Amino acid sequence: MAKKHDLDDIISGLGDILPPPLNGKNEKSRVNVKKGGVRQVSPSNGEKVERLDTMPLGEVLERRSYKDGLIKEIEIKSWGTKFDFYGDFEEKGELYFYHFEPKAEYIPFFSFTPQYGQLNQRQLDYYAFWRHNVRKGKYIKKIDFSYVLLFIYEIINLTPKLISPKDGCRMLAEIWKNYRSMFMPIDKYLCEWMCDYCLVHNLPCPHDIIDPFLQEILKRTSLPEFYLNHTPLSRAEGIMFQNKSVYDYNSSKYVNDENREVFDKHISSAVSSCLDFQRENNIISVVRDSYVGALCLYTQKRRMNITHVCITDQIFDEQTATNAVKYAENMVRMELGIKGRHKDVEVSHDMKQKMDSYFVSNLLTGDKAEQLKTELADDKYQPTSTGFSAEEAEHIEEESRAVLSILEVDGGENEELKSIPVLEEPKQREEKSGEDKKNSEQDNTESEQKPTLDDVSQEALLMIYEGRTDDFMKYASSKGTLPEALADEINYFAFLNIEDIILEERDGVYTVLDEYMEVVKQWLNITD
Amino acid sequence: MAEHNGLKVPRRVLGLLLSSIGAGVVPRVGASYIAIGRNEEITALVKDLDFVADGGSAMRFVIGKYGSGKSFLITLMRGYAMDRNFVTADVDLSPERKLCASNGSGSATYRELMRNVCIKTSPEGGALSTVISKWLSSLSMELVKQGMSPEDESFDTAMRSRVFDVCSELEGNVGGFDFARVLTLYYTASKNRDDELKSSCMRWFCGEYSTKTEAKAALKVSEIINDNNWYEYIKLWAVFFKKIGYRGFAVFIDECVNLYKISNRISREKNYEKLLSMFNDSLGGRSPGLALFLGGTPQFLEDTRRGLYSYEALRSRLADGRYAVGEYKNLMGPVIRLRRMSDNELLALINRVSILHGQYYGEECKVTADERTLFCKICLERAGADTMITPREMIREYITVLDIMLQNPGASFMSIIGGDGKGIDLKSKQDDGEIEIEGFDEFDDL
Repeated sequence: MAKKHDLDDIISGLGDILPPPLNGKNEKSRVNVKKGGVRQVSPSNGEKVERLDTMPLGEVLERRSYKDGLIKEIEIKSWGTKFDFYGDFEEKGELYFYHFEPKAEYIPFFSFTPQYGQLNQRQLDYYAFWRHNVRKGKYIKKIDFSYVLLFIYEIINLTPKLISPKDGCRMLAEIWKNYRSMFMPIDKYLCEWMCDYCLVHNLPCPHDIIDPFLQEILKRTSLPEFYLNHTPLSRAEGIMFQNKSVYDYNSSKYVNDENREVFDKHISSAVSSCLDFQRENNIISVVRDSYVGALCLYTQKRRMNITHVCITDQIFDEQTATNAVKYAENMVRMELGIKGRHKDVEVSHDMKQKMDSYFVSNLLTGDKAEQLKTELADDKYQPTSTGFSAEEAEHIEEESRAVLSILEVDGGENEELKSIPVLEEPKQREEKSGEDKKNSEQDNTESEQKPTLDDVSQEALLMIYEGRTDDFMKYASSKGTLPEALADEINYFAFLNIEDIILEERDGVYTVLDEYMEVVKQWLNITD
Repeated sequence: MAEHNGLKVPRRVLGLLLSSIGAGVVPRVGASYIAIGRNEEITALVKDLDFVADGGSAMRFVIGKYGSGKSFLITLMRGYAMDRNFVTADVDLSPERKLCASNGSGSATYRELMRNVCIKTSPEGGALSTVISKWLSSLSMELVKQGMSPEDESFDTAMRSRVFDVCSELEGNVGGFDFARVLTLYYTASKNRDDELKSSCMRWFCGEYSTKTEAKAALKVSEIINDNNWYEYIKLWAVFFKKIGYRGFAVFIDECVNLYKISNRISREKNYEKLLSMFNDSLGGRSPGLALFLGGTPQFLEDTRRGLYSYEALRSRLADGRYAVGEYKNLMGPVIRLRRMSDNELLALINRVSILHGQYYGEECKVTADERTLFCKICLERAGADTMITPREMIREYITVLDIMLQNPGASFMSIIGGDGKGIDLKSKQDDGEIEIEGFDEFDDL
C-alpha cells in the first residue's frame, strides 16, 4: 500500500503556515546534509557562504565571431540590474551540491519555481538520490517535474563554479532526451535554455543527443539558427521549409530502416532546391536575453547581441511546404518502385521545375529520368544561350535595328525607326567627327524639302500659339472642320517633320508643348 | 532634337523614355528605341496586324515570366500599330478590372480601354473624340471639295446623309442601332457646338452611364454599355474604325494573371468563357478589324488547376501540338512564349541605354565596353539571378550609375560600382554554405 504523504510533504511551504507539530520542532528550520563533507548550516550559527558579488552590471563580457556557420557574431553582456529575489539559491546550491543518497523513498514535490529552500528533508534526500543517479547516467522515471526543473536551475546557476560547461551541457541534453516524453513542458523550456547555455559558454549544440528530436525543437525554438548552425545554408533552409509541412512522410509503412536515408536525403534536398529562387542572404542582429522564464541569478543572466544568417524569413505557408514534401515523396517513391500515394499535388510551376531538375540530376534513372529531362529541356521560357560576347551583343543590336527598319511603313514615313544610332567607343567618335560635318550639311538640305504647313493649319497654329482658343474653335467651324481634326492635322504634320506631336489638349484647350515653342516660332516665322 | 552621328532623336520622347525606364516602368512612348531581340516575335505580331488590316481578325496570348518583357513587347506593338494607322487601346487587368463580372468590373475594363484609345497623333490616350471629330471633319471636307459651303442649307442634309451611310452599316451588328444614333447625335452636337450633348455622347461611348434611365433621358437610347455587352461594343468599334479609314482596332490587355488569381472558381471560369468567346470570334472571322493581344504568365496559361489549361475548351485550342517541341518554335499559333532575355541581349540593351543617355544629356558615354560587360556579369552573378533578374532591374540600376557619373564627373564607373564590382550588390554572396561577411575582419583574432 502506498504511503500516505503529509500535505506538507507534497506542497512545499505549507508547513510555514500550518501550526507547528506538537513536539515543537519544525523540521524545515534545519536540513541535515549527509555525507559529502558539506558543512551544515543552521540559522543559529550565523555562518554564511561567501559569494562573489563582483559582477559588473551591463558590461560587455565577451565578443566572439565565427567564420563558419549561420551564427556570425555574439556579444555577451552582463545583466544590467541587480536583483536578489532568488536569495540564497546559489548558497544552498553549493551547500547541497555534493549531497547524495544511495537510497531514498520517492516523495512528491511541486513548485512553480522550485528552490532548495522549499524542500523538506525527505524531498531533499530523494532529490539527492535521483540526482546522484542522473550524474551516473541513470534516469529514474519515478520523479516529478519540479525536481527536474530544480536540477536544470542548478546547472544553469552553478556553471562554471561547480559544474563545467561541457558537463552541464551534456547533462541538460540527457535530461531533455530522457524526460521529454514524461514532461511535455521540457521541450518548451529547454529549446531556449539549452541554446542560451551553449551560447553563453561557447559550446556547440549537442547534436549527438538531441538530433532524434531536432524537428520538434525547430518547431518551437526562437533561434533555429543555433540548432542548425553548422548545417549548410541551403540544407538549413530546406529543413525549416520542410518543418512547416504538416505531413510527415515517416508515417508511411514503406519508409523503413533500409530506405529511410534515401527518403530523408532526397526529400529535404529537393525541397531545399525550391528555395533557390527566393533565397536572399539575410544577415540580421537580434538581442536575446538568456534563461527567460528560468530561475536565474543576475550574475548568471546575460544579454546577447547575436548576428546570424536568418533562415526563417521565407514566406512559404504550411500548405505550400506540405505540397512540396508530398511531391518530393512521390518522386522518391517512383524511383524506389513504390506506388505514389498523393494524387494531383499542387505545386507551383517554378517549384515543380526546380524539384524536377533536382531529381533528374540526383535520383531518377532510366526512362523516368529521360522523360523528365525531355520535359525540362522543353522549358520554353529559358534563354537559348548564356555567356557574354561583345561581338554577339553588337550583332543582336544590328539585327534589332534591321528588323525595325523592315517594319517601317510606306517607305520612310517611320523616320524614327531609322534614327537609332550606333554605339561607338570614344576613339571612333573622334575619327568620325570630320564626317559628321558633311552629313549635317546634307541633312539641312534634306529638311528644306519636307512638306510645309498649309495655310489653314498655319493660321490655326498661330491662334493656338497665341492662346486664342475661342478664335481657333470658330476658325475650325468656319472651315467646315472640327477643332480636334484641325489640331490632329497640325500634329500629323509635326510628326512627319520632327517625329513628335507639338500640341497637347487639356479640358478642350489646345496648347503648344514647351519643348517645341522654338520650332513653332520657326514654322510661323515669328521673330521676337 | 538630340543629335548623334547626324541622326535625329526626338528629345521629348527620349526624356520620357529615360525617366520611364529609370523608374522601372514600361515607357509608353519611345519603346522602339530600346527594343532589343524579340525579332521573331515582333515579326509574327506585325503580320497579325497586317492580316487585320486586310479585313481579318487576330488574337494572341503573349506569355512570359515576370520581367521577361511581356508588357514591353505589348507597348512596342501598340506603338507599331499606331504607326500603321491603327486605333489602339490598352488596359491592365486588376482585381477591379476583369473581363466578366456582375459588379461592374467588366465595364470598368471597357471604360479603361476607351480612356486609353490612342492614334498616331494622340499617342498618350484620350483620342476617341479626336477620331470621331476627324471622321466628321473628313466628311465635311469631301463636301467642301464638291463645291458645297458649310453655310449652305443643303450642307447639313448632305452631312447627315453621309453619317447615316456609315451608321446604317453598323446597325447590322449587335448594339449597332444605339451606336449609330449616338454617333448621329455627336455630329449634331458638334455642328451646333452643343458641348453638353457632345459630352453625353462621349459618356455613352465610354460606358460611363450606369443606368439605362439616365442614358434614355440624355440621349433617348435604350441600351447602355455594361458588364454583359462591352465586348460586343469593342467589336462594333473595330468595324466603325475600319469604315472611317483606319486599318483596324488593336486592343492590348495585360496582366491577365489577375484572372488566374480570382479565387472563386465560377467567377474565374466565366472570365475564361469570355476569353473563349473572344478567341472563337477572332479565329472564326466574327470580329473583323479587331486585333486582340493578351499578356500573361505561364501559370495563367498552363496551370492545369486554375489557369487557362484548366478550362478544357481553351486548353485544346491553346496547347502546343505534339510536334511543337524541341528546337523549333511555332510563332503562328495563338500563344507566343517569351524566353528570358539572354546574356548578350541584356548586354546589347545596356549598350543601347548608354547611347540614349548620352544623347539626352549631350555627354559622351564614358562607360567602356568592358565595363558594361562587367556590369552585366555582376548583376547576373547575384544569388537567384539566373531566374529572378529582369531587364527592368538591370536598366534601373544602370541608369542610376550613369546619372551618378553625370553628376560627379570625377567619378569613374568602377569607383561607383565598387573596386571589385561588389558595390552594387549590397548583400553577401553565398557559395555552398560558406557565407562571407564583410566588415567583421576585426573580430577574427578574438
